[in-house]
Order: sequence, then structure tokens, then C-alpha cells
Amino acid sequence: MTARFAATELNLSNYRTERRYRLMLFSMTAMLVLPVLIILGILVLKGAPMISWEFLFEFPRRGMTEGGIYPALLGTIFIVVVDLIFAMPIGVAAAIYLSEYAPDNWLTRTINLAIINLAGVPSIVHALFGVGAFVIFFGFGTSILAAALTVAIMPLPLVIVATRESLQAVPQAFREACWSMGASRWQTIFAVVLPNAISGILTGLILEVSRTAGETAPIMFTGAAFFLPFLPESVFEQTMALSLHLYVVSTQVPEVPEALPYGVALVLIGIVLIMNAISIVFRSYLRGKKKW
Amino acid sequence: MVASETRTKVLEVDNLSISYGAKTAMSGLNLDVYENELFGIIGPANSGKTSFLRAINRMDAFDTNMKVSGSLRFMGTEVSAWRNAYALRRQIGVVFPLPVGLPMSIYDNVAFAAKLRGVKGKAAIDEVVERCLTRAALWDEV
Repeated sequence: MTARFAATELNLSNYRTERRYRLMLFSMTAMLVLPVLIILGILVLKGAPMISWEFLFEFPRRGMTEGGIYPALLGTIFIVVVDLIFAMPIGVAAAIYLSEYAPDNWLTRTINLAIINLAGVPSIVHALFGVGAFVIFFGFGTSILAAALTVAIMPLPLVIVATRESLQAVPQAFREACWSMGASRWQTIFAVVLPNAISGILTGLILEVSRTAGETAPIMFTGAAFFLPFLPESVFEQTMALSLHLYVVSTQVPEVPEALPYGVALVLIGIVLIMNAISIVFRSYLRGKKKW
Repeated sequence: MVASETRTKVLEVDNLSISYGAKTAMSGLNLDVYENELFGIIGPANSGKTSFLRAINRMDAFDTNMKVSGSLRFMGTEVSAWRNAYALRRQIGVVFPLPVGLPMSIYDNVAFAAKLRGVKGKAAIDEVVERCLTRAALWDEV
């Protein structure tokens, strides 16, 4: 009886092939994690000694070779917050329209194509667009508002795609059950679709924050200053920003201590990681409440 | 079918055809459904049963591909002529096979339709939920 179930040579060879491919695919995946670990490791190793209360909450001194990064840290947070105020409503609204309302016609296909192409526009081109549109045409000048609006546009395709995917993942049957009771499209979206798509919207938020905090080129022309001895008092003023500050202290300022740029980079990555962690925790809490 | 002509016709279907793009889901359907009549439709999968229900309910509005032609009268009025499709759908309930309920609590599931019909205030909604669940013999279960 056992002989009948014994593995043949063909079975064994299939099994070995299976294992080989599995190992290959796993190592490819593991290689993705490696750069992240190396970057974080180097930053922590070289930058951590810089991190202190003084570094985080004092102004730069002596041509930015000493002191802290407070104005840049605050500036980056300002830009991210203003960016989210504009980008999230627009991104989510566009995704809702495309997923729930848009008919399948040439206009929708053109819009989708435009969104995909927007994702491919180089950041320096975005920067020039920002200068033309927000700094000059709308007259915001080089300001936090202009910078935030410019960086808001760049990750919009990511927000729209992430949100749309999660909206479309809500089973169509839920919508039909709702419609058949006499609910309008908006009532259906509000009561059933959005609550179940919230995790995708938060994914969009994570992508938006990560991209915005790190962008340098677009804010360089539209609102980020090389050095400012004071904090901005409104969104119509310029600000320092971590990403640009990192560029400046690594390439433009002579005699900067070696650890300083690493410290700035560590803080920048830290902000992004903290904000991401908050939304990931929130997302998994909401996923736990999902009812199917 | 005794003296069916004296009873009220609730639904009159005349030469109804439904298609999705170039694909015809069903065609040439004629039937009448009378008041208080239990009317069953059976057929193999993809023979147009659900499409028919969706057409009665005017859910074709949610599917740009779905085209309905022919005549479909509810209470004597052409379904497509009902000004307010939402009101029509509140009159004609459709229960699809899946899912059993919306992804929310039992209370919210029952309260949802009541809210759509404009029932306001927690006390009023509570009353509706209790009445509905009692009628369905579920009140003691939840």
C-alpha cells in the first residue's frame, strides 16, 4: 500500500524545482528590504550621536555648521500639513468619482491616462510648474503655500490609485444591496463604501506624507529658503525645510561636521516613519473592525 | 388563475429585452404579476433572472452597459417614467443572494432602510428596528 504513495523521481524533481523557485523569489523580496535596513543602519550609527534636545529645538549657528535644525524641522511639518489639507480631499474625491461615478468612456480613459502620466513627470518639471502656477500666476510668492501646493500635486496619482483600488475592493454586491433599498449613489458611498475603504485611503495618506516630506527640487524654487534666522508667521512666508537643509549642509556649506548631515537625514526619515507608523496602527485597528 | 382579469395588475411586462453591450441577456419577455400573487422565476445561471429584477428596480441606471428595451409597467406607470427612481426602489425591494447583509451591525442594517425613508430620531428608529426584528422572529436572538 505504501509503495503506491511513494514519491517517484518525477515528484522529487518537481519538489526540488518548487523549492528552488521559492527560494529565488524569496531572495528577490528580501533584497528589497536590504537597502532600507542598510540606510537606516548607517543613519542611526552616524546620525544618532547628533540627536539632542539642542539639535532638534535650536536655530542653526555659524553658517549652519553648529546649532540645531529647528526652523527646518518645523518648516517640513508645516509643508506636510498644508500639503495634506489640499491633497487628501482632492485625491480622495477624484478617486471616488473615478471609482463610483465615472462612466466607462473616452473622457474617463483620458483622465486615467493623465493621472498615470502625472506620476511620471520629473520633480524638477513639477518645480517649474509650481513656480509658474502658484508663485507667479496665483501670486503666492515663494511661500509655504506655494511649496505645499507644488509638492501636493506630485504624489496625487499615488493617492488616487491607492484610494480607487480600495474602493473597488468593496464588493459590488454591497452597493447593489444598498441601491435596491432606494439609497442614492452618495448615500451608498457614505454609508457602505467609504467606511470599508478607509484603509486604502490611509495608504494614500502614508504615500503622500512620505513623498512630500522628502521632496527637495519642487520646494527649492517655490518656498524653501537656504537659511532663515526666524520662523515663518504665516503660510505666505518662506520657510526652511529638512530636505533642502540636508542638501545645503551636505554640498553647499564648508566645514560641516561629518555627523551633521546624517543627523538631519535621520530626523527627516524619523518624521516620515513616525507619521507612517501612526497611520499604520490606525489602519490595522480599522481593518480589525472590517466585517467581511 | 380564477378571474384574474378582475384583480389589479401590479407589474406588466411587454416584450422586454435586456442587453449588456452586444450581449443579449434576455429578450421578448411578456408577463403580468397580480396583487398578492407569489410569482416565481426559475432558470439556469446567466439566463437573465437577476437582470430582470434589476430592470424592474431601475438598477440599470447604475450600469452604463445595461440596456433595457420594451415595456415594464409598475402600478400602471412605465418604470422608466418614474421621476424618482429612489422612491421606486423603496417600493420594490430586491434581496440579492449575497451578501446577506451590509457590512455593519444588525441594528444598523435594519435601521439603514428606515433612515433612507426619512425616519429620524433614535427613539423612532429604535422602534422600527425592534418591530422589524420581532416580526422576523429575531428580536430574542440579538
